[in-house]
Amino acid sequence: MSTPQTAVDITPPSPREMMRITLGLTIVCLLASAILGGFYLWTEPAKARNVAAREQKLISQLLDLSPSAEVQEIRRYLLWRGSQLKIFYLTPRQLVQFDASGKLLATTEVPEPVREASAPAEKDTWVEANSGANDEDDFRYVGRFFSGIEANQVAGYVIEGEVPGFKTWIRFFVAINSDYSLRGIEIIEHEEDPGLGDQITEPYFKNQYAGRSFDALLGIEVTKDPLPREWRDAVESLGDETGFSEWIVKYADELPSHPDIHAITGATISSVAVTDGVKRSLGNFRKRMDLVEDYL
Amino acid sequence: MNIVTRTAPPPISTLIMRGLFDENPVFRLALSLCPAVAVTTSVKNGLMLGVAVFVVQVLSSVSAALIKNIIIPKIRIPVFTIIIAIWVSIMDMVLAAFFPAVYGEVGLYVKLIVAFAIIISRMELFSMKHDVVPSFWDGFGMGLGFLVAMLLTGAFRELLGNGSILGFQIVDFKPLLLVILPAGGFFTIGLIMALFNWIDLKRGKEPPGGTGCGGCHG
Amino acid sequence: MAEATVLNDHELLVEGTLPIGPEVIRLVRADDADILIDITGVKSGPEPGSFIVTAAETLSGQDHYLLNIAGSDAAWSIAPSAMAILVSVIISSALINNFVFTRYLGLCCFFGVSRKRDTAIGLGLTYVVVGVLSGVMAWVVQTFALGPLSLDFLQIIAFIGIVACFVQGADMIVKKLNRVLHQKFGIFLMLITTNCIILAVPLLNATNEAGFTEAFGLSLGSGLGFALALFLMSCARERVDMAPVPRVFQGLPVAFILCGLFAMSFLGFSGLSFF
Repeated sequence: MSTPQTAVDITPPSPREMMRITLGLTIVCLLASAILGGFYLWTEPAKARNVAAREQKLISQLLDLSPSAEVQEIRRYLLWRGSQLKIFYLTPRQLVQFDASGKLLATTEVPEPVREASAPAEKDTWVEANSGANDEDDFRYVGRFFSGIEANQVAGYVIEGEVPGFKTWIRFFVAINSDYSLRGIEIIEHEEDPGLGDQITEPYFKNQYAGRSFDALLGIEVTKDPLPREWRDAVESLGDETGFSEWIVKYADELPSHPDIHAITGATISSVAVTDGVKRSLGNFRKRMDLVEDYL
Repeated sequence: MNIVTRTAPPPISTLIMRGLFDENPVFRLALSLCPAVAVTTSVKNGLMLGVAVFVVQVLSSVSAALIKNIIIPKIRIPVFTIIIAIWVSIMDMVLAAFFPAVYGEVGLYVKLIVAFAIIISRMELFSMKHDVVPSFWDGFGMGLGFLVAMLLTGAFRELLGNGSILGFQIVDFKPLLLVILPAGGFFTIGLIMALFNWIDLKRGKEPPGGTGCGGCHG
Repeated sequence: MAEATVLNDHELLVEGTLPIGPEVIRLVRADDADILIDITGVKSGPEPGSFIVTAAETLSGQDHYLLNIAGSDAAWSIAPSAMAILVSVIISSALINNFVFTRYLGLCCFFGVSRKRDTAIGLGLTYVVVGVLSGVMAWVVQTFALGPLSLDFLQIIAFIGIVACFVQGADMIVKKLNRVLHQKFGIFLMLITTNCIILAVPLLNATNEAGFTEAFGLSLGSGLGFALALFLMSCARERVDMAPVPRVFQGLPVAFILCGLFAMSFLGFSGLSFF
């Protein structure tokens, strides 16, 4: 990118040449935008599909779902009119609307095309149009969670959460049973330092959350003590070899003797961030379920 | 109007060897270093970015050779930049759509390929003077040189820093955590550059003085 | 809107008339506005016309909270001030997450220019000015054109266009206005297009959907960080030039080793936090 400038002509070009250059550059830019637009139209649906498929696979894994099980997405929206707040939940079947105190305001059926839409943007546009938001209101999508339905029974939930980590945001999934005890967590996106903070994705760290009850998790602390060898082997065995249901039977008695999360060496900030994020998502999720559970 | 002078293209083997060793974009020219240090914490990430750069380099070199006779010479640099930007954007969209997992880790650096001095300097220095086929091989050699550099650095850092290659655990401990940390990337590149110099000395050739930034001043 | 600030871990100092009791106070985090934070108490503050709200959970001065009183229009927004955000973004992008040493950006011209202290200072200063201006311009384009029209796929081409136009334009203006200045800094202007930081900043701002303060802070902080890195490196390299370096390490290899040492020392800034 350096050679360019030495080649610049000192004498100003004639008006005729200027026109040619302007015209040439305009055509090139228009052509470029057209090509990119075409590629965008081609790749965008594929991208949405692949991202959704990856999420579904992860959720099925986290909740141990059978192939016939169904994963439902529930999206949350907030509408501010001045300091007045309205809360929306979009379930696969209906759009449920509450006021700030949790009183049900309205429910709307979701039409077929919106229900089947793979791109989240399509759903969001539909919700905004049906929320009664006008131009001055602040309407926004604020988060989502998933419920896994196995043979018409809720097998568990997966909550998506975000928390500021050491560098930027850490995005994660928290999988829970229907009694709000934790099955496991999965880090979806992060930018922690390689070799240090990026260990949050390793089984020996993330599996330490598995099997904790709701109350135990809300009070959980991060300790800098080293992770005991046998407990490390225990948490690492969860996943590939042993499914969660087997694992919890085997190690349920040991959980109380390991009440804390052992921080990653040299990455206490990342460890604490993930723990705080999981705690907050779980606590808020339970409060939200009090409102919305009957409409799922 | 055509100010471009054609010279006979060097043989393919020379073109490829030049990209791989004599003028290796990373270790010799010290160009396009940002991603070479940033994403090479594992072979997988290095491979992904290496392939992206390889494809963009080949396509851009060929495009430049194809249109060199129809563009107004004065605006060739902006046009080259736009061509690179098109290929990079396309690469970016394709990778985001079909390889979401790896893309999440190297996304920003894929976009930054557009600022790579190596790509535009090959277009300007080689493709403008040669036909499509030699330009293809020149881009191929340079792209391959970059890809190999990324793999080499990635393998070195993943093996020493994490004890694994391509995610497969080779040893059960981390021999030298330092090389995978932010600072370690610089040490690794420095050591590999020294290795290249050492090979040159063994071959009885004088290694380049190592002023750096071969293309920055044009 | 009256003032309200986070006093300590559990207390908020609010300007206004004392509400009748904790039950009418509605305090939420802006990100989880549908979840009420439990209020354990409210009492009058140290000065007349203010009161202190005690919350059950830990509050943070860096978070954004919303407070209102049921049955009245009174509402407070509790967020760090723009100045605080600006300073913390600048510190973070210049020192803690220095673009050169921890994100490895801008390396191409970094090694080329860091051999002489004078050129290093020249490029550093020029970069700060151009980086801030083009960063702000790219933010304007992203926020008012690309974002609302969902043309995000044109980001790369638009940003590189902005940078190129800007550098070219700045070059022409400086040349016409002040020849001496142009002779001194003209060459650096041209080098800036090879610097990935100038492109990475708008891309990062777009991904993080940064507001103006953050965008400006990141542009300025990354520029200052780059200038600092360049200056430190040039000082070290001038000295290394005098030292007997083994033949195979001469030139670039030893520069890389030096850079690694700097990167390690910059690790010392991690965990540094302001406000």
